[in-house]
Amino acid sequence: MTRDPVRISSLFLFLAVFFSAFLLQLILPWWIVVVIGIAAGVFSQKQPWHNFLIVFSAIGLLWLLIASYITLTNSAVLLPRISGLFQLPAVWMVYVVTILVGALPASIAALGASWLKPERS
Amino acid sequence: MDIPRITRFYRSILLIAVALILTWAMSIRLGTIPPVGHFFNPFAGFWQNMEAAGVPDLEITSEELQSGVVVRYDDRGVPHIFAENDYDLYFAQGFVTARDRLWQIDFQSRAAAGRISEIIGPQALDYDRAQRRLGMVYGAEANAEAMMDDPRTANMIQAYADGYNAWIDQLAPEDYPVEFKILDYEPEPFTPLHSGLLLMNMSQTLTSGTRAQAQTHARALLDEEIYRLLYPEELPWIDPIIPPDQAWDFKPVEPPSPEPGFVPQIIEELPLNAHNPGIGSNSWAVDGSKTESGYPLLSSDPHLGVNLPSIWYEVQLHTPEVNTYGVSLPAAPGVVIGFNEFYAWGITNAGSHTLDVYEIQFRDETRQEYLHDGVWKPVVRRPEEIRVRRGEPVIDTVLYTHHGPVTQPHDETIADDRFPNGHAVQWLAHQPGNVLLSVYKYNRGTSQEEFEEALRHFTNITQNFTYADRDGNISMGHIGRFPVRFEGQGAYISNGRDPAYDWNHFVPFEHLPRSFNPERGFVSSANQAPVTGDYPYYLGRFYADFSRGVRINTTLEEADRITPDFFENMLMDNLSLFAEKLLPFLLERLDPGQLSDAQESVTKQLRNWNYRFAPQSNSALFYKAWKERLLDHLWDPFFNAFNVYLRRPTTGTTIHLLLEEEHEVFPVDVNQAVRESFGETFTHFTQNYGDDPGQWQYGRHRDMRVGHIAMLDGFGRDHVPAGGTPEAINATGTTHAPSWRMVVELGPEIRARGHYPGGQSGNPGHPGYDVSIDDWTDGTFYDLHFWKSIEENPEHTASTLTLVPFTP
Repeated sequence: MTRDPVRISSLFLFLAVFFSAFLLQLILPWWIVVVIGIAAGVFSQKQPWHNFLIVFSAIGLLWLLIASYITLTNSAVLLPRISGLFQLPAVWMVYVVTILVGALPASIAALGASWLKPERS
Repeated sequence: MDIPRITRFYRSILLIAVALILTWAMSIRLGTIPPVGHFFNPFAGFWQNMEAAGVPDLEITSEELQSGVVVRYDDRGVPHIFAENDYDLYFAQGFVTARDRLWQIDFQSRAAAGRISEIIGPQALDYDRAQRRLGMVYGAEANAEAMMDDPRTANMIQAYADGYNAWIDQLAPEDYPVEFKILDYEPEPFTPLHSGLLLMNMSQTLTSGTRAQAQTHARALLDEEIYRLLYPEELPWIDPIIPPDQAWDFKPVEPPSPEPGFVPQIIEELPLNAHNPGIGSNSWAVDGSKTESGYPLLSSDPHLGVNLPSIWYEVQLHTPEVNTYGVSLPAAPGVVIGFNEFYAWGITNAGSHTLDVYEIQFRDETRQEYLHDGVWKPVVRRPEEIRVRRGEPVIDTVLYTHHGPVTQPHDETIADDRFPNGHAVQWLAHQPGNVLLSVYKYNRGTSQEEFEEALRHFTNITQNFTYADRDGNISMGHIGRFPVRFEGQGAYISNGRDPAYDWNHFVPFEHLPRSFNPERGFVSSANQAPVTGDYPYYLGRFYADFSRGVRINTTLEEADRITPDFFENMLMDNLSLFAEKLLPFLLERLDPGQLSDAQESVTKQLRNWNYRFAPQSNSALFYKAWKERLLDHLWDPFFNAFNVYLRRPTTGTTIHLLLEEEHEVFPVDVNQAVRESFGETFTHFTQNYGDDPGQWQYGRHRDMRVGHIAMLDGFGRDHVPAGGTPEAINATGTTHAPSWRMVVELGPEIRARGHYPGGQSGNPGHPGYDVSIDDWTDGTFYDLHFWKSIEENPEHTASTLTLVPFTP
């Protein structure tokens, strides 16, 4: 096994996922986060579960921050209505669902893509 | 920990596949669950529909505008549109209405047209098919064509459509109202057909109800004397809309006589459009002789299904030629109920027969021809394509006779069983008419003569119009195109073969029931019978019970030095004359020896009750439940004995039968029914609301709600603690209620107040969406800012929308 030509830090990977998702989502539909997840898994040389966690937290945090920013700068009257529509037990669960919807498919894709490469010793 | 490479590879492919399938599943609508990926995405999903209070400033350029428009939004989000000409005015009205109510207009138009299946799937097919069978699109096309034939209304509609579409054109998908995201579809552009569909929608609500089928069955199955007791030609205790001393000095148009001996067939299906007693309204006006200021006062409160977004949208329209304020119906340009600088007007539903059911005789099973006036006439077939989400389109062919569409059988699969008969409806709403021209004219009239001239065009949605002006005049009219009928025509199923049942002539405008400046100093209407028996035309039979009308008239008769506050209190009046008549009768029949102490304390409270349906009243809650249970005890055994569609007598008629001791019509012992229903109600109350009668509260337990128009969970307001009852002037039922309350004083300066249960914004993510419900519930009215110029009261301008003509 040869040593990887590029070693990227966890922080770099996190920021790359976070900002590319932010920029691309301004013009592309939500599923671009899954494409970003796959790309992260392919290019990152970290342990697969490590990639999973980084992608999950980057996308999850991005969606949480945007959602929180919108809530803070607007009225929150819609949240109980959405919570009621989906029969969620509490209004804060709307944030949990939001995080999961974005982060889960992207991070599963990243995990799968990580395993495409040969295992490092 | 070496995993073989091949296993690793498959695991990798499997996980990526899981991620992609998940992504796909989150991108489509599954059952009633919206595409959650799109929906929860904070960059484009529902998060983007969250708004702060108020209306943001906005400037829009459009090449269609002629001179430019300034819209001042006041502190309640009401747009005050200042334009230079009609086109710009209605362009701006279309624009601001779309800005606040885009999804509502889109959804209501599709619902009217029978196009819900294309949004939600095959479960809406029965609903869509019924709409097509009722000729909703057929009527909308006829009305749209008539409106586009007149240059004034054509300009109005085209401008409104252009403004509406200009709003849509500058939206990105993430800006679409949240309901589009939930139901996963897109808005479509506004066309003249949308205005036709709105009229049909209102007609369906107000004038499509028929009792012909129920009455035909009852007449066929009941003993003649019982029938007369249950369905009297004139309801008890009625005080008609037009004062009974009104003289009718004209020569009436004579109706044709039908061939004798027609006995209509019993229909096994339920009717498509049974009468809904929750629909009604009040409106009244007093002249200066009865007011403190010496100026006339007018009020109007239409009772409709109260929903979110609200059925009404408040607006002021101003150009050099017109200045009017009031409520508009989203999808219709103009102000429907309101006032201008010269007069104010109110509207209640007329309730005379405008939809007749005809028994049709087909020539053979192909149903290509039907018999009329001794001749076989061709049936016209209109194919209706119903698109279905995730399914093949359904083609439903609707048969048309010259009367109108064949609504029964509702389904072609049972047509053979019904041969040779079918049933068609003739409905005023299907006839080409231009109600919008009436709105156009009465918005800009400057005198009583011009208002009267405008009413001549209000043909298709028959209404009572209340009027009051600054010159001191008041008037009332039962307005619309009413067929000249022989006595009883339309009350039962009509003979489709006999031309005497056709609508051959209409009551001339000059012969309509009218009252101008009556001696008593007031006019009023509450959907009761318009006239007494000496009016020379037969208009209909099934009007509202006496309760609201008599309460309004006695209140106005007794009052003098009336103020706008007095009118506001009247609008919130919770007194039920039904309860006042019925409750003493019921209490008398309880057996005191049989009552427990707890029951005794309930009857004591009932005895002291003032018959007002106040939110904190426990007696109101108990009486209402007791009365409903009693009616079930009295009528269920009677009507359950028949297996065809019949209807109960009105509540007023039932109370009359009880009080007049006509107890032999009931199949049960009345005293026993009273006692049993009392005991059951008491048990139900202690089980559901607790042992302490002090804890039973009408407002808390009555379950009044302002629901969402697509019935989305959480998007309406449940358990509104409102007072009122359909029997009181404050006719607040469970789902139907005063949808707009307005009081106008016609002095040198017009002063008006009003409110409705909702808000200007139709966005469930905007705090204004349901902001007025609490004030509506407790009777707090808002000052309506009626500005004469763009400069007046600048301190009340919260934000501005500027529409600028495009100059290259």
